[in-house]
Amino acid sequence: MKKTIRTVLTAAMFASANMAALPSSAVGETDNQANEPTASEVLTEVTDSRKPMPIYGPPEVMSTMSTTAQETFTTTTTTFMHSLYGPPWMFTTTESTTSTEAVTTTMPEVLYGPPVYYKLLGDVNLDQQIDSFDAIALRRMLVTGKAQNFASTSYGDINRDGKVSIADLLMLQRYLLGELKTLNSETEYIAGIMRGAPIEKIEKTAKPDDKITTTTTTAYDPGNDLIVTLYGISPIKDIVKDIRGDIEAGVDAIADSNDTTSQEK
Amino acid sequence: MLDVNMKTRHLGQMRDYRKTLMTKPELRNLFLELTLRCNERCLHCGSQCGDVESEELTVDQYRTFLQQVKEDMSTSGKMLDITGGEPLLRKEFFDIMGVAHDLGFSWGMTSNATLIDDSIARDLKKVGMGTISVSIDGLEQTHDEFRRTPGGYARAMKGIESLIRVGFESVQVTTVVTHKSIRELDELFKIFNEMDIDSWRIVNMEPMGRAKQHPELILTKEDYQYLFEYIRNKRIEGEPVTYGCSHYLGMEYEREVRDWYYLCTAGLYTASIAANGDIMACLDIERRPEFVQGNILRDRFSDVWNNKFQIFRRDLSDDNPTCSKCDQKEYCHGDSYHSWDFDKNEPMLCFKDILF
Repeated sequence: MKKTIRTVLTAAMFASANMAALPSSAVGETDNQANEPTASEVLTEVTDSRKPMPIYGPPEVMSTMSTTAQETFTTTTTTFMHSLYGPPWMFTTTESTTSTEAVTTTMPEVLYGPPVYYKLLGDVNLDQQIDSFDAIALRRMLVTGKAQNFASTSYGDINRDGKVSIADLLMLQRYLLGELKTLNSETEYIAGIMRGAPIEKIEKTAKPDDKITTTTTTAYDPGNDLIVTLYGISPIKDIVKDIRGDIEAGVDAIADSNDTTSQEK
Repeated sequence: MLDVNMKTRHLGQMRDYRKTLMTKPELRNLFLELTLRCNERCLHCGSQCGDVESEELTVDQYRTFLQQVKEDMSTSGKMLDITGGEPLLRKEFFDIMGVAHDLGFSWGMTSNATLIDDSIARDLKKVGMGTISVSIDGLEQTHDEFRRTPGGYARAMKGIESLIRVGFESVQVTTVVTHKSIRELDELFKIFNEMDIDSWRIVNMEPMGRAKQHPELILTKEDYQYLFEYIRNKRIEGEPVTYGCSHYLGMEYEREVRDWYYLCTAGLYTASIAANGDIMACLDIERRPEFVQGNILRDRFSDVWNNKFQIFRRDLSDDNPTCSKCDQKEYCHGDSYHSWDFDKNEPMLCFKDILF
C-alpha cells in the first residue's frame, strides 16, 4: 500500500499527540477519569476476563530490614532588642538540643515468585499482547500512580531499571511506532523474578500565571478545513495544525488529489 | 488515545456544522445507481440487487439530468459516485460516464472489479474516472463463499492489477468483515501491503438487507473491539487503513480509525439517484416510499434538493427515548440514517456499551 503524506501525517499525529499529551494529561485526567472508567478500561476488563493472566497468585515474601536515619536539627535563636526608653540593652536567647532518631521500617522483598518474561515486557494490561492499550494503561499508571496489580508494574518496567517511569512509556511508544524493533532481549527468555516496581508518578506541573487573553472568534467553516471523500471527510489541514509541522506544501498537493469511493459492492 | 479535549472541540464543531447543513445543505456527493443488476450474490450486501429486472435510465435521460445539475448547481466541488449493482454491467456505461466527463463532473466508482481487464481499465481512464473502490471481503475461499461467486476473488484481484497497471493512482480496496472473516485481517493486510493500492477501507457487516438473514455473520462485541483496535494500530504504524464513514464510535476511537469524525451526511451533502430515477438521500437507507423525494424524470433535482429532504435534516435521536437522553446525543444524533430501524424507532447498531 502507498505511504503517502496523508498516512505519514496520521502516524505523526498519533506520535505527536502521545508525546505532547503526557504532561497535560497528567494535569487533566486525574480529575476527569477518577470516577468513570474509560473505554480502554472497559476493554481491558473484557480482555482480562477472556484471557486471564497466568499468574499463580501473589508471590511469597520475606521481610528484610531497612533503616532510615532521621535527624532533628537544633535551632538556636538569639534576639537582640534595643530599647529606646528602658534599660539600655537586653537580649533573649533560645536554645534547643540536637538529637538523632533512627526509624526502622520493614519492607517486604520478594525472594521468589513468577518469572517476568522478556517477550511480555510492555504488556501492562496483561492481555498477552503489546499494543496501544498498554501505552494507555501505562500512561494512566504514571498519571495516577496506581497500578492494575503487582504484575502490571513488573511488565511496565520495560527498561528494567527497577521503576516504572516516563522513560518506560517513551520506550513503549517508540516500539509501537516501529522505531524500536523489539522490547525483548535477543538472547534471554526470563527477565527476572516478578518483584513489582515502584511507580514514578508524573507530577502536576505548575500552571503559568493567569493572564488576560483577548481572543477574537469567527464562525467555524469546515469547508476551509475539510476535503470531501467518498467515505467521509479528511482533515488534512487540521492534521497539519495539530502536529504543527512545516509541511504546508505537501498538504496542498494532497488537498488537490482525489480520493477513493465509498459504498460496498 | 489522542487528546480528548481536542476531540471534544472538533466534535462540537461537527455538531455545529451539521446544524448549519440542516438549514443550508450543500451538495457534494451525488450517487448514481446505474443498475440493480449484479454478477455476484453477496450474503452481506446491504442492497437487494442481484439477478433482478432493473429499471434503468437511458443515456439521454442521464444527459438531461446532469446538464440540469450543472446549470443549477455547477459541477464545482461535487463528485459523482457511481454504484449499482455492478455498474459495469450496463452496456451504456461508457456512454453515460462519457457524458458526465464531458460536462465536467469528477467521478469515482464502486465495483467488484470482476469485469475489469486492461482494456476496460484504459476505457475507464478515457472517460475520466478518478477513483475506484474494489471489494475484497476476505481471503480467496472466504471471499468467494461470501459473494457466492466461484473465482470471484481471482478475477477481482486481476481487475485491481489492471487498474494499477493502466495507471490509476487512487485504487481503494474495501473489505466488509464478518464474524467469520475478522481473523483474516492480518493475512489480508500482508496481501494488500504488497500491492500499490491507495488505501484499505474496512467496514463491518451491517445488520441490514440480506445480512439480516445471516445473524451468525454479524460481529460480536469482542469482534468490534478487535476490529477497531486493529485499525488504530495500523494507523499508528502509518498504514493507509481506515474504517468506513458510518457510525459514531465514541471518544476512544473517533478520529483514530478514520481521517475525521463521524457525520451522517445523508440529505445534508449527499444525495442519490436510484436506478429508476428516484431521488433519495443515501442508497443504503431502507427504501420506503416516504424516503423517495422525487424522480428525475418528472422533477428538477435542484428543486427537490432545496425544498424537500426535510425528513433527513433532523436528528433521529429525538424519536427514541433512550437516544434522546444519551450523553453522546449531540455527537451521534441517532447514528447513521441507514442503520435506523424505522419500525421500532431505534438504531440497529449502537456502539454505546460496545466501545464506550
